[in-house]
Amino acid sequence: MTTAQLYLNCLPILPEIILSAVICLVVLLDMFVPLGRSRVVCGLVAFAGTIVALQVVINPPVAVEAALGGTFGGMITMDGLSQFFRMLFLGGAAITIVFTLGSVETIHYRQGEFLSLILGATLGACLLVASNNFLMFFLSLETLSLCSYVLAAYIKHQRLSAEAGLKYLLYGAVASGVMVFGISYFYGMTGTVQINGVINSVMIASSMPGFNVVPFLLATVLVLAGLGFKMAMVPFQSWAPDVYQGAPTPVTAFLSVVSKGAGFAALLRVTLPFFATNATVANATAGLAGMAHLPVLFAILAVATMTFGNLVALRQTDVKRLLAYSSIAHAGFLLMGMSVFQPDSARAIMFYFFMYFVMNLGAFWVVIVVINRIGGSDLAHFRGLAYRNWKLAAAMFIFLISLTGIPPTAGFVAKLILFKVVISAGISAMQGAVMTPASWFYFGLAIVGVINSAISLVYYMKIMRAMAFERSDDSSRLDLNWVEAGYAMAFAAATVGLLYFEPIANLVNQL
Amino acid sequence: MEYLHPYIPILMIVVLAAAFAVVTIIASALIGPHRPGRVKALPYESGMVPFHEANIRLPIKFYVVALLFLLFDVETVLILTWAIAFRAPGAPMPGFQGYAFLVMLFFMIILVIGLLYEWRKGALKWT
Repeated sequence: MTTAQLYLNCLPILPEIILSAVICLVVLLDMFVPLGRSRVVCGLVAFAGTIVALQVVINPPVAVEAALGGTFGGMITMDGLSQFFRMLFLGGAAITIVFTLGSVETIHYRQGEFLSLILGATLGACLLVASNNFLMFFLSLETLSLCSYVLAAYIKHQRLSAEAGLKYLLYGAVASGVMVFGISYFYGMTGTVQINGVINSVMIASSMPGFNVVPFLLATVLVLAGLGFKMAMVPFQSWAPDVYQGAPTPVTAFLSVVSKGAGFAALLRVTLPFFATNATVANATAGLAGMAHLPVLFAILAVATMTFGNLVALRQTDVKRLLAYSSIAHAGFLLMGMSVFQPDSARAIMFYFFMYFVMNLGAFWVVIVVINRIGGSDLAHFRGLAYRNWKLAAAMFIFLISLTGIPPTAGFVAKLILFKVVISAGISAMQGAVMTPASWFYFGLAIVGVINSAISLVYYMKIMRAMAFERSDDSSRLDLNWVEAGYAMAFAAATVGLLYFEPIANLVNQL
Repeated sequence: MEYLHPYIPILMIVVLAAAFAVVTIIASALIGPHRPGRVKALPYESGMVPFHEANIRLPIKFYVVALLFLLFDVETVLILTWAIAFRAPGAPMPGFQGYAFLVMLFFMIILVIGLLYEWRKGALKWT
């Protein structure tokens, strides 16, 4: 190793370095720019910095491609998975920064702190998906979490926001503690904290006779608890509704895509080597040997998560809370893909997540505009929106049918591909025309997913009914400024435009 | 259970240490003379004479100072180990020290920004 290589080592994390520099810059600017101008100045600097980092991820410098593989002694790894999710996280951060500038909720506070916390959380998420070492993994997860706790409690004088921050912190602290305990088990079993090292040891050991699966399953479940907290997976979901409702809406949008995405990215990072083996699909329900437990575990979690999210969402009257339960349900759909241990299912999950990213951010932007203009996120505030501003209502309509999975929207394509993966796993498990337990298992899973999609239509319809078939007391026309209208239109156009999904499919296929 | 065998000495130390502590306390309570007096019963305050209740309300500023101190305390630990590795014989390559210096420099810059921030925010002000 030469001196030049030492410096080249840093190139793969160039986007993260840029992000860190922008965080420092925003904090400094916040101190010295007068309060009146700090919102615009800090916002623009943060936005520009994120875009530059995103640009570096999309078009990496030549040296980065040469260094693809491992860096920092194998702590950081650069592959299709990390590239894809880093793109998504940085894009999510840039969009959240615009949300912040367009929302009145945080207007009375210094923006520099808020923006640097969002960038800090993004930094944690980006490093998390690139980390190939459990220590790095945990550190970056904590970076993400600590920033999110403060962000959730950012509106200090509001009771709900403070409650959200406290609940998030207490839950998160326990979840992280449990996860570290699980990591210590992995270390104890294999003697390494290198993620691929751990997985290799486990895979070799599991193929040997007399392999005791219990400690491995225990450690997996413990680590899954930490990640499940981030993903809002049942039974670690109970923080989500309170936090989503209490946090400032830009933060809610951020949590529902970047934080949840980080959970799934991390889960994919630890399970991806299993996907490549393809060996566990056929014996998913066959026996108790080896890794056959994992698909079953994920399927149970998926069914529980989507059913719980959808059923509880039926009774909600606050749109932010409703979207929180909807995001729990979507976590369930994503987990459904996790139960098919094939490279295709990892791609389907990433694909689904991209579509979820677009439509969910769009829906939250409409909520932000409604809070700005009408003053709340209750269903009552959405009443008669179609008559007060048909463009905003139409955009919300598109996001909602997309979240349900009805064509012609991005959500439909996402669900189509995810279900296709599950059903083809069931078909490939059949022996000729004879159903095996594994194929019953996957067909059953797909049917539960379809029933859940149908249930979700009911509560998304509740918002649509409030917008179109109910009248509000105040039926004056709602005039939006060009940012509010333009952003809603852009997201709606993207949600429909993603029916042409080939670029995204190509992006995902690089995995 | 063979893989637990190397840990048996640790278990023995834990048991011995616990036994030593418990036995010492019990033995001194059983065997030792008991002549309590007012001065003997006072809480031990490292030689100071206690003059009021210990349960009083402390200004919350102490906690802020403790938090800020913690940051710089951890930083000192990091720099100490860094400094030892910096001069250690057998550096991996000629240019390594320059690299190590740059890395620590960036760390210090970030720390100074943090210090500026808390200064500017008035976290260092007592009143």
